[in-house]
Amino acid sequence: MKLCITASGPDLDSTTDTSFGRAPWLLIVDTDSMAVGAVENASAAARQGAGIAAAQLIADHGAEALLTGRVGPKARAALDAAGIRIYEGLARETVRDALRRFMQNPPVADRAAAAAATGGGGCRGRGPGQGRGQGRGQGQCMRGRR
Amino acid sequence: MDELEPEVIEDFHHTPFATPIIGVTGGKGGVGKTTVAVNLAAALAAHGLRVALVDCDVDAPNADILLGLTLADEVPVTVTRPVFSPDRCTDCGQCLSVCRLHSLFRPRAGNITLMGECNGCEACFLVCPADAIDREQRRIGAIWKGGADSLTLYTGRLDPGLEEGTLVVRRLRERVAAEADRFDIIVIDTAPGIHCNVIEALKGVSLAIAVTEPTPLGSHDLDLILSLLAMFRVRGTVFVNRADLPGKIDEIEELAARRGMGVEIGLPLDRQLLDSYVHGVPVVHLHPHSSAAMTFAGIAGRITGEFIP
Ligand code: SF4
Ligand code: SF4
Repeated sequence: MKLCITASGPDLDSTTDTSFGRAPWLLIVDTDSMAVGAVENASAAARQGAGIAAAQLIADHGAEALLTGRVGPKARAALDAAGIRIYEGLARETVRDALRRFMQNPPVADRAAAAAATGGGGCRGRGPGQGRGQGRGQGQCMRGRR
Repeated sequence: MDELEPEVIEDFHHTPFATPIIGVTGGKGGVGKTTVAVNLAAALAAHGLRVALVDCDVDAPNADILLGLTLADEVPVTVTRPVFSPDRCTDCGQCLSVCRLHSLFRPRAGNITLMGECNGCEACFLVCPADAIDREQRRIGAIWKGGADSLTLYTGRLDPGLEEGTLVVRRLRERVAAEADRFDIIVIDTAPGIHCNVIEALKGVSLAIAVTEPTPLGSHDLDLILSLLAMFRVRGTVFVNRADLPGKIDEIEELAARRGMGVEIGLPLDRQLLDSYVHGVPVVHLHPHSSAAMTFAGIAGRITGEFIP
């Protein structure tokens, strides 16, 4: 499985970053071969939509699961649409430690995403394109705040 | 307090026309903000100016009622939303990278979905080389115009349950801007509060009148709106409504002084003012010799003297 872990640096000795959209690095670990691919999160500083952009990035890199601290509603919808399982609750530690704990004792994935990923119907209450307030144009409120 | 970038402040003060704008605002609802806006507009018209009154409280516009006007000339406000056709999409990914809001998402090759907010900027339509995006128009509200030449009312209303109020305010202001040279002065009545709507409505004002009442909650919200004005470097003045309420005017004066702003004469809720609510006629017309009417005439005179060449 290709697991993405949000991190503050490009290797396993870096500290984790518990924010998904704002994490500077997205480490994609192949849990079978333990090969690590480091993807720089170019949209980490985006004023808006950082979560969706990060979801796009890891989907493009073939991630099947995400281990992070917390996922916002829009990023969650995007990850669900791409069938990427979400594991929340990542602590601040080294990526290596987080990975070790994950492998030893895999947490339960977010239910909706897991169901979607396994093709199970039932609880896809938050499928793609159902986000509220699409097209609301309020996004740039207080743009340019320093 | 957060500092704004100079360009943001400059952009805030830029208008494509020369007609001066007076903003009427207030941190809190129900303090008589619209009463002040309507009567100020009527008083300015009585001074012989051609006045545009713009009701930017798009969640609950009511200047038409206070003026006893019927709204006409409805123009719907719509936003464009992209709809993607997977059969035409070549999966080039250009729409994904051009969307500044990062609102587009590609869960699978050739399958683009609108996932986040869309402000209708149309950038994705422009870059798509395969003509794979269709436009869907969605109505979010409407704007109206009414009244006579000396006092023209422009009103915008957001359709119930929607959140795109700022966009309605922007379109309303665009309509006014297109006709701005027909007027000597523009009076803008904003929504209560200090959210994006209010900021959008106050763009380009030469003077903002912050309406408040002497209550503890009133002063708290007043301080918020005054700090917003200070942040955007807007010249402001405080107008105390309901000066007959038992609260402390000196507290308001202190708040205003801290921001270097003056406090306008208080306006008691007298019988004539009540009368004007009941009849839907501005008090400056219904009872031109009442103290309320004199107050507005005085402010109108000062504004005319300062802003009209
Ligand atoms: S119209 Fe603009 S904001 Fe909306 S999806 Fe396209 S690029 Fe993004
Ligand atoms: S720009 Fe057009 S062709 Fe390219 S990915 Fe987007 S929708 Fe498809």
